[in-house]
Amino acid sequence: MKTKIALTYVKFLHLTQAVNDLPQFPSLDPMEERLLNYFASAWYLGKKMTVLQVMHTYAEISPSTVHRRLKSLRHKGLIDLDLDPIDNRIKYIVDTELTSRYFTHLGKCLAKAVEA
Amino acid sequence: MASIKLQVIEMVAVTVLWILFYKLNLWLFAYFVHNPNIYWIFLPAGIRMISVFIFGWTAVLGIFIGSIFTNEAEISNYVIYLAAISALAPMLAKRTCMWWFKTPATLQGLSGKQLLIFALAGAFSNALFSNLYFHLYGLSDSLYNFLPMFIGDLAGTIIILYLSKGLLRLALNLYKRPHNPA
Repeated sequence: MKTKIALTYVKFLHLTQAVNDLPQFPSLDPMEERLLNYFASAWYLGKKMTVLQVMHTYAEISPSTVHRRLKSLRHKGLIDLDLDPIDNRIKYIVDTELTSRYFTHLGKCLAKAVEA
Repeated sequence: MASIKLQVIEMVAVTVLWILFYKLNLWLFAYFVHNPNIYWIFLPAGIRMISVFIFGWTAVLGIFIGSIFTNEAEISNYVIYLAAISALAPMLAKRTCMWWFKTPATLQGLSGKQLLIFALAGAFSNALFSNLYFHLYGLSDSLYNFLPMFIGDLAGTIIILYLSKGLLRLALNLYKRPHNPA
């Protein structure tokens, strides 16, 4: 009986760990994280970035790779594109509500880490 | 003897939880009904999954009894077979996924993403076998009820999982609050 109870309890513990591990935000690869952090500092300073500018920002990464990551971030709802009112070919990268929640969550995690 | 007593308690607990969440689902999601057997959101599917994970075959028995109770039709072969599918489908999904991911019986190493895959597999297996049965029993001409049932079970399971995550977080935060001794 002790073994059965112990096994049930252990299964419950591992299940709660897995439940805690449930994804909260879309998972990002390192390149996407790097881009998002770059956008965050630009948005904070009130800068406007176009897709073309961002594609040529990183000398060590090909523009097509950056473009693919931008598409992925947009698909995950972490960025959106605004058309320039004068020239529709120009697209500005803007944040979304999910982006605000994502950075708020990161800020809280940082605050908790500092307190601990 | 004590082991049997424990298993009976587990079975009764699962049955009670099944019935409670079924009633809750009826109350909360009455507008999301597709037909009397299928809801677009079905919370008890989450209870199926979690209880089968923790209690194994005891939970299967609990779900079977609970499903018979909650089926509004009179007890017949139809009700019994449907209850059996409802109880066995999550166990089949669990066994298949554990074999695929090589997860030990203790569930050690189970990740959040794997849990979502289990949810998908559970919803798929219940929807598939239930609809195959509806078709063989002559209740439907095709498997067109598969999609609403699959979505209902998946949505219900995900809601229960994230609700559990929220409750765990709340419990942890309450536990961590500094206590002021009197």
